[in-house]
Formats: sequence, structure tokens, C-alpha cells
Amino acid sequence: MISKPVTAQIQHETLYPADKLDLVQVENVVVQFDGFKALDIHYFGVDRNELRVVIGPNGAGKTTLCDVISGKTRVTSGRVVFDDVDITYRRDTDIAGLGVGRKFQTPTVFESLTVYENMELALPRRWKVWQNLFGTETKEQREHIHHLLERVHLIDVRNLPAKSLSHGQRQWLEISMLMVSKPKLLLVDEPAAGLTDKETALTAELLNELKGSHTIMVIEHDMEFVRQLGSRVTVLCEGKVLADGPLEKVQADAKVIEAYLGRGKERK
Amino acid sequence: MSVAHPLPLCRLPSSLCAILRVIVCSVILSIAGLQAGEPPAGASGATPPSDASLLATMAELTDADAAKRKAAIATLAQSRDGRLVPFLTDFSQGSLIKVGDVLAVGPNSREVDGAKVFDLLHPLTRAPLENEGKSWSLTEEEAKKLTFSASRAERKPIADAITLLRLFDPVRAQRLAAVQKAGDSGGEINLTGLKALQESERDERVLRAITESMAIINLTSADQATRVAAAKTLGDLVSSRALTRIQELAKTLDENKPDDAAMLAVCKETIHATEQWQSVARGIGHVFSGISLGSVLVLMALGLSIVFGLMGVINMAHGEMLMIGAYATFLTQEMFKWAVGAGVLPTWAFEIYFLVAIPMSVVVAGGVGLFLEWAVIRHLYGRPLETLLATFGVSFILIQSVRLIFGNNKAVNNPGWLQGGWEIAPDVIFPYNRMFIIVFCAVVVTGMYLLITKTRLGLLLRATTQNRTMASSLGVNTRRIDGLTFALGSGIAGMAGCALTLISNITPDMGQAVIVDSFMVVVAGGVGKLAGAIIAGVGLGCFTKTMEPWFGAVWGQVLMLAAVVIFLQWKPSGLFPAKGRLADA
Amino acid sequence: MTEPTASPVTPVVDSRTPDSGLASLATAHRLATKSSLWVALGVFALVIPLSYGAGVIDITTLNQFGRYLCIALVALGLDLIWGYTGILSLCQMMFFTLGGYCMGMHLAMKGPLQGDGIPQALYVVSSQVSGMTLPWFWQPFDSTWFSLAAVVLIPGLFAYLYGWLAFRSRVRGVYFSIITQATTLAATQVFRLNDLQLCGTNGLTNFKTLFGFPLEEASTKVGLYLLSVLALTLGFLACRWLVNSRAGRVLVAIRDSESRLRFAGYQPVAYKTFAFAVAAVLGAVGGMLYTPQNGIITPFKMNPEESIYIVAMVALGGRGTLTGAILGSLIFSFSYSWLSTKFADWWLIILGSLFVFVILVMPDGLVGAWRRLGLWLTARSQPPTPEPTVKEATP
Repeated sequence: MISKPVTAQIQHETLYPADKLDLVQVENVVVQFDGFKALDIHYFGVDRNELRVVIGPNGAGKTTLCDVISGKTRVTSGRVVFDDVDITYRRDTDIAGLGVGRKFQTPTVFESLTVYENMELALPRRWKVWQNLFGTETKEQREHIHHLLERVHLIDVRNLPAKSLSHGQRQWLEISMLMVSKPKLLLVDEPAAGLTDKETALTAELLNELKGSHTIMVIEHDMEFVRQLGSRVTVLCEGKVLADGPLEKVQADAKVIEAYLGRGKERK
Repeated sequence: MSVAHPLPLCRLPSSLCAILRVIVCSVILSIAGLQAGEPPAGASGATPPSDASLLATMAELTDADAAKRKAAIATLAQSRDGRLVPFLTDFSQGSLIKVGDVLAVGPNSREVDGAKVFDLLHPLTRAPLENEGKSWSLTEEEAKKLTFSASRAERKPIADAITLLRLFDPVRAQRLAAVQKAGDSGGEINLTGLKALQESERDERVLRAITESMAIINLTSADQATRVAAAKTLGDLVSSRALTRIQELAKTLDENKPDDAAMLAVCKETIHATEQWQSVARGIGHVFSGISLGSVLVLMALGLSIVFGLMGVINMAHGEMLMIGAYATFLTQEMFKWAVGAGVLPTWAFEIYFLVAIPMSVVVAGGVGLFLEWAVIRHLYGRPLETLLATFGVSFILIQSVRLIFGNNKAVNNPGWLQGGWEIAPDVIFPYNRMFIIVFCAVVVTGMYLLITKTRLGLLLRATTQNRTMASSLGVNTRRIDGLTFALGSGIAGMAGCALTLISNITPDMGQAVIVDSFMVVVAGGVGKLAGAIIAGVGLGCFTKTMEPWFGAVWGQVLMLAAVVIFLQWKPSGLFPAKGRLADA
Repeated sequence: MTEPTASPVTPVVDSRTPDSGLASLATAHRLATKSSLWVALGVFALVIPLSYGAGVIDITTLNQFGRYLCIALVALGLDLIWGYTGILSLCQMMFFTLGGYCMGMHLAMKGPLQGDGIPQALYVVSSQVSGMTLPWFWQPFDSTWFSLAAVVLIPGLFAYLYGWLAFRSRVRGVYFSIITQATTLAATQVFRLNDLQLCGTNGLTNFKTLFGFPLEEASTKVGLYLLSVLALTLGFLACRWLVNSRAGRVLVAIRDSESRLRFAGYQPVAYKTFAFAVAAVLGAVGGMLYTPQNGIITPFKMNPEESIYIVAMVALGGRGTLTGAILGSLIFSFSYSWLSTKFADWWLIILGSLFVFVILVMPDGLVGAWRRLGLWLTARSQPPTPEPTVKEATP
């Protein structure tokens, strides 16, 4: 890429109009694991209040991209900007404090806490020790939590420990926790993984509700789910951005088809 | 969850291999060289009298004429033949026997049918004499008539002769001791003897001792120049033996007397040089014992680390595996003692008991480890803190059981070939047992490295460490790998215990003393990193040993702990940087 | 990827008819659980002092109970850091001893003085025969208020700093346990040194009065006992308040998934450090009350195995429950004094077996077993009803 700056420039301009006002800007980022380039991105940005879907075959670097933005993985070179703040070398906690919320690919909730307590912990801006020693949540917050739990059908189990939830319920709980924490950016890693079709539809519905008012980045392989979101799609392959645009356009892209089929994988 | 970190156990840098090899080779070569450097027996007089004339002179001791006997003693004293030492001793103790023309000694008696019988030995070679094809012995009565012994007046010249003759002992170590003793006792006669020996001696170590002893004797010389020269020589030799003498001598000197002032200056210089050398020698000694202690720690850390890498389990009873290895060594020794005593095994067999004890300690400690894994650890898979506590319990049980069975304190006798040391420079002695430990640990570590990188078991072990689920789905019996690895780790600890018996006592709680340090090695060296464990183990061993004389053992340990905590600050990403798709990787 | 599964919490379906005997047992169980705290408080605050007054137990026994209550405070602290936060600290008795030393130095200063105002305990072990002056760090302990503040501040600040250094560099799990063990080992060896002028292996002793009350007097002993009951009660209430607050939930969240919590914006280091410091202070207060009741405090209380005993107590009672920590510590202390005198040779083996047994068979301790008994009784005694647990929700 660096050896061919001209091509790179052309690619850049045709694929991504450089909008420096994007909420997240990932610029010239390279991530190497033991010599293996897991991520090599010239530019990737998510605009404010945009719902962006990132797809790609296994090992394309989707989760690594999430890790880079949320501060879990350090970049080898390059720069990550969030909300006009350079977060390349910030700690994960600080980045979360700036407003990056994340749902992990394998749903991770606090097992011994009840569903309600999980939600309570996710309430925004209550991170200091002393803030948590005294006082409880406001009535408004409580109602908000109740509303969300009702929405994802978890209201009946709100007092059960999270370890007794099913996989789908955990997915929803984690998404709800993300929603209640009101981050500026929601990183949603595979929200439909392991869900039934009906559950997937509800998840899509939830995300669609947030669309327009929240900045969301969704990682997914389930094409049906991606279709339900009906949003701009970025295709990653082998750490690089392969294509970008509406789903139909991306699916028709020869490079994308090759990337999926060339690896011998059957995709819908 | 906790087994996800990779095991770069196999990444032993080739340079490290090379260093290890050089160390092992050089140690072996130098030991071999030491043996070869031994001068041939009787490396003594420039013109040693022939055995025949010697025997003739010896026979004169039985002469009735006192003057003749006196002359014979004087001649023998000048003969420079070390073999005469036992002969003269026998003479002064009344064991010289003359049967007809045959001269013999009979120092040893034994009981035959309730009567004392003396076996006759050749006066020079001390080989048993034969008469009519049988070993020649005399009854007590016969012997009494034929015995000759030194008269009271002759005892003193004989003692002097023995002192002198000892200097010509064919055995190097004996000669060395005699030379040192001669220096300590002083006197003209010793000086003469030392001078005579100096001419013929070829061994450097003995030559150095001769120069040293002569200088020590000359310190009391009447001649001022000789005294100054002697003090100077001792300074050049950095003789620790002479240090107190010179210090005391310096105290008696008066700075205001012109004669004394010159002497005092030389003395001060000598004292300074010697003391400086001694601190260097001590430093080298500390580093050396640090390395040997560190290599035991490396073995311990290796076992802990492999088990932790594989199962995410910290075995608090790992120190007790070391203890069990040490007790296995002790039991092996006791068995050999018994077998030699009962005549089942020849006496020399005792010398090799240690070689038998090594596999014994591995088998016993490994067996206990295997049982522990089967009975406790495998039920706690994935719960590292619980495992830690359960193994605590196990360690209590093991310590107390061993205490109830064996009592509190046992010791192992080092086999003869591990006693003593190699003096590479004056006052810098590398004891053979510590050298053995270092070589032994190096061999075990190399063996482990090969086992892990080159064998199928090693492959399975690495596979299970890196991805248990995957390995299991490929048909690896991960449970069995767990058990084997645990046994292996325990076995290595057992070997460490076996090695440790060479330098320390055996107590039921000896593992506790080592375990905390071993953990520090794992923490500092990184889990599953062989090179890290070696560097951290040797480093921590040397660190504590060199800090000890300055700060005391306690502060040394505190410093070590502080060093580890600071080290962890310096590696802020922690020992397990999270990776992957789970929040908790 | 795992398939979506049905809820693991399926109600225990029992086709048998409800058993009235079991039902009454279940009720009894519920009642016992509910009243247990009041009963315990009643026993320790009223029954034991009254039975002393009535002459049923002697002052030595009362004194012994008082010391057990102090140890229970340490167990409470460990439960906070281990049971709730999931950090196994193996140096809790070090904080106990530090608190004990702060109190002990005060008591020694108020005890018989030798030479130039040197407490007897220090004078005896000192190598200086004449011209010895009181070391500077002993001087402030003449003040009661300073000593009381030191009891809280020295262990608390030490734990705070230590925890901050360790947690900041993400030393966790077994690593933290090992480092704390090494620390308490080092501490005990340092305190054994005579050069430190903390009385070496002899420890602090020769106490005469506490705040002007003679320690020999039975009334002082009763007072100290009641103070221990009060301290444990307050400690218990404070811990209960803490674990029921949102901060307590954060602690549990740290135990469950620390990294997840970081991505939610919390700084686990702050919470862990806080919990560690609170646990240390609880231990130190225990040590403070223990010292005058025991009459001596030595560095041997810092030995690693002493802290391991505390872990055994919490494991036995049931970690993650405050009642479990206290219950476990009391049972352990009683059986310790009984078994270690009666079967001195076998005591360590019994203890080791207890460890292995509790961890293998009763991972949530006595309280957990009690709770499971309750659940079992309830399930058996109630008619099987469709329990309102997790429904497979459909959009």
C-alpha cells in the first residue's frame, strides 16, 4: 500500500470520501500479531448517528477492528480518533469513559449478578467508588431499565442471576446493557450469533430502533440479519477494506464474491 | 479459560544452548584435567636412594648399637621417600618385626581362635608378605620376641623425620597438608625440608604452598631483609593463611623505629592486598553458590511453570514434591547402608547410591504427583484458586505425615567423589557437590527442552496447552496429558530435592523454604518460558546470595520481593495481556 | 458457537405429594435462617456475658471467646476481598498483626518502663545496655489517639499502596495470592529482627493498663469482650451495607468478569484497592482488640500459615456470604484450640484434610450447604407448581 501511493490515493477517494467529521476515524492502522498482519486499514470511519455493518469472512479482522477502537488491542502503527480525541494510546477504561460501549462476540455478562443488577451497573457515568457506595438509581433510570427489559422479554427474570439465562437472553441482556449505558458509539460484535430466526429478527428490530439516533457499528456474518438492518456495509477481508456501500452493491462486487467464494465458503 | 496462553517453552535461544554446552564441557574437562595433573607417585628426591639400599638402612634400625640406629634415622630422614612415614610410625609404636633376615611390619592384629595374630606386611610397599604360599602371620608370643621399637630418646628424631618425610608423600593432598603444616610449625628443619621439596616438586598448587610456608617461616627469621622479603612474597601470594600472622606481626611493630617502619609498610601492603583478594574470592564464592541454588530454583520453577501453563493450576504442594524427592534420596542411602552393612552389596557400591537415588526420587515424587492429580486436582479443573487451596491442604498433610514417620531432621552423606572442591584460584574453591548440582540441573533442563520440543509427548503437551478443546477433539486424551504433565512436574521437583540434599539438611518443611522463591522465579521469568525461568532462577539465586552478606538473609529476601514487584510495574501490560473475542481471554 | 439452549433453571419437578413433615422442616429452616443473626447476637452479647456473671464459664473462657471474635473480623475482611471480589489474599494476618503491633506499642508504653523510659519488652531484647534512648517511632505511641489512628491508617495505607501497585500492573489470580504470601513471609522475618527495635521474636508484651484500666481485672476483660462483640457487629453491618450497595455489585462483577467491567467504563483497580484496604482495616481492628486480650503479640502471627487458616475459615463457612465467614471462623477457632491440644501430632493432617474436603465436596461451605438444604426442603415440601422462571421469550 505504501509502495503504491497513487493507487492508494485513488482507492481512498473512490471508496471513502474522507469525512473528517466521522465520529470514529481509523487511519492507516496496522495491527500485527507475531508478524501476521491482522489489520491493515487505510481509512475507516463511522459517521455520527450512522448504523454501519462490517462483514467479512472468518479471520478478516472484524473483531480486531472492534478491539482497536475499544482499546483492547494496541495498534502497531496508525491512529484512532474518537469524537475528536486521539484514543490510539488510551486505556480501555478511558475509552469506555469517553463513550465507546461494546458488546462482545461471546456474550459476556456478570454471571452472579441478577439481570437487573447487570443493567444497573451499565448505567452511564457512575464509575467512581464513592458514587457507588452511596445512593441508588433514580426513578427515571429504573423505569428506563424496566422498559428495556420488557422490550427484550427479560422483565420476568430480572431477579434471577444472569448465569441462569439462555444464550439468546444473554445476547439481549448485553445489548440492553449497551443501550442503557447510552454510549456515543455502540460496538456490537455478532449480536445474532447463535440466535434463532425469531430472536434474530427481534435483535434487528432493536438495532433499527436505535438507528438514526445512535452511532452503531455492527459486526455480523449472518447476511439475512444484515439485510434486515438495511444499512451501509463495509466488507473486510484479510485485514483490508475490500468494499463499501449498500448491501446490494457490495454483494454484486466481484472482489467480494471472490473473497467469499475463493475461500471455498458457501455464503448466502 | 486460563489455559489460553501459548507455551513458548520451546523457544530456548540457540545461544543459550551453546553457553550451556560450553559450561558443561569445560566443567567436565577441568575435572578430568585435575585427575590427570596428579604427579606420579614418589615424585620426590632428585636422586632417590634405591629400594635395596633403603631397606638396608631400615634394617639398621634393629641394630643393637644406638649410634648406628641414630645414623640410620638421620639417613632415612634425608631419603625423601614418603613411604617411610608409615614405616617410621610403626617403628616408634613398636610394630617393627624382623624374622631372620626379613624385615617386616605388623601393625594390624586380628583374632584367630581367641588368640591375637599379627599379619606381616612389607615395610615399604605394605603388601602382605607370604610364607610357603600362605599369608605370613605371627602369633602374639612369636611377635613379642621379634619386635623392635624406638627408644625414648629416638622418638623425637623420628617425629622430626616423619614431619620431613610427609613432605614427600606420594599422594598430592597429603603432601599439600604436610607442606602447610610445616609452615605452621616452623623451625629450621622444616625450612630445609621445604627447600628440598621445592627442587623436585612439579605440582603448581604444592609449589605455591611451599613458597607460602617458607615465607611464613621466614617471617620469624633473624635477618631483617629475609623477613621483609617474606612479607612481600605473602602479599604477592595473597595468602589468607598468613593474614592473621601478619596482622599480629604488624601490631608488634613500632613505626618510629627505622627497621620496623620498612617492615610495617610491607605488612600493610600485604594485608591490604590479601583482604582485597579475599573479598573478591568471597564474591565469586557467593555468585557460585547463588548459581547452584538458582539452578535448583530453575528446576522447581520449570515444573511449576509447565503445570501452570497446561492446567492453569498453581501447585502449592510443589515444594513438598521436592521434600519427597529428598526423602527418597535419604531412603536410598539408608537402603545402601543397610545392604553394604549386611554384605549384600560390596563397599564401593555405597559410592554410587546417589546415582540410584536420582531415578528413585523422580519415580517417588512423580508417583505422588500422579496420585495427587488423580485424587484432587482433576476435580477442580478450571478453578485455579480452589486448586491452590486444595494443594495447600495437601502440603500440610504431606509435611506432617513425613514428620510423623521420619522425625524432624535428617542428613545425607555426600558420596566421596562429591566431597571437596576445585580450587581454581587461591581461596576460590568450587565445591564438587555444587558443581554437580549445576551440571545436573543443566542436564535436566536440556532433557526437558528436548522432551518438549522433540518427542510426541511434548507435541501433545504443547498442543493441549495451546488449545485444549481443539487437541481434545483431535483425539488427544487431555486428561491423561494432564496427569502425565503433573507427574512430570512433580518428578522434576523430586530431582531438585535430590540435588538439594547435597547442600542442605532434609527436613519435612524444606519445601516451604524453596517454594516462595520458586514462585518468584515463575512470576519474574514468565509462565512457560524456559529461558525466562533460567535467567530469573539464576538471577534470583545470585541476587539473594550476594545480598545476604551485605544486608542479611532477611533483607535480602525483602529486596528480592521488592525487585519482583517493581519488575511487574515495569511490565505494565501484565503477564497475560488479553487477546481474542472474549472479554476475559 | 453454542446453540441457544433452554433455560438451565428448570424447576425441580417432583411428582410426589407434598410432605407435611418436610413442610414443617422447611418452615423451621426458614425461621432458623431468618433469626440466626439475632440469635447469634443474643448469644454473644447477652448469654455468654451473663453466664460468666452466673459463674457458668470462667473469665479465661470469656477472654478466649473475645479473641475468637477478633479473628472473625479478619475472616470478614478476607471474605470481602476473596468471597466477593474474587481476589485471594494470603496476607490478611499481616494486617491483623500490624494493627496488633500499633496497639501493642501503645500498651507497652503504658506498661512498666525501664531505664530512660524504655518499655520493658523493648528493654529486655535490646543489645544496648546503657544509654539507650526510646526510638523515635515509639514516641508517638504514647498517645492514645495517635495509636488508635495508627491502627487504622498504617495497615490501611499500606494495603492501599500495595494493592494499587499490584492491581495496577494487573497482577491477578494465583499471582496475587503468591505475591501476598511472599509479602507476609518477608514481613514476619523482618519483624523478627532485633535491629528493628520492635522486640524481635519475643514480640510485644508486659502490658498493664488499657486507657487506664488494669488489664488484669476481670471487669476490663469483660469490657474488652463486649467491645469485640460490638466491633464484629459493626464490621458485619458495614460489610453488609457495602456488599448490598452498588459498589458491592461492582466487586462481584470484578469477580465474574473484570475485563468486561473495564469496557463498561469502570476502573477495577480502584475498587479492588478499596476492597483490599477495607479488608486490611477490618483485620487491623481485629488485631487491635486481640492484643490486649491476648497479652502478647509476636511476629509469628504473620507466618504465612496463619493467613491460610483464615482462608480455611472462610472456605469452611462459605465464601461470598458474610455470615459464612463469621460462622466458619468461630467453628475453626473452637476446633483449633480443641484439636491442636488433643491431637497435636495430627492437627496439621486434620487441617489439610479439611481443606481438601471442603473444597472438593462443599465448595460453598456450610452456609451454602444450609441453603441447599433449604431449597431441597422447599422443593420437596411444596406441590410442584409451574415456576415463573425463565421463559423462552418469543418476539
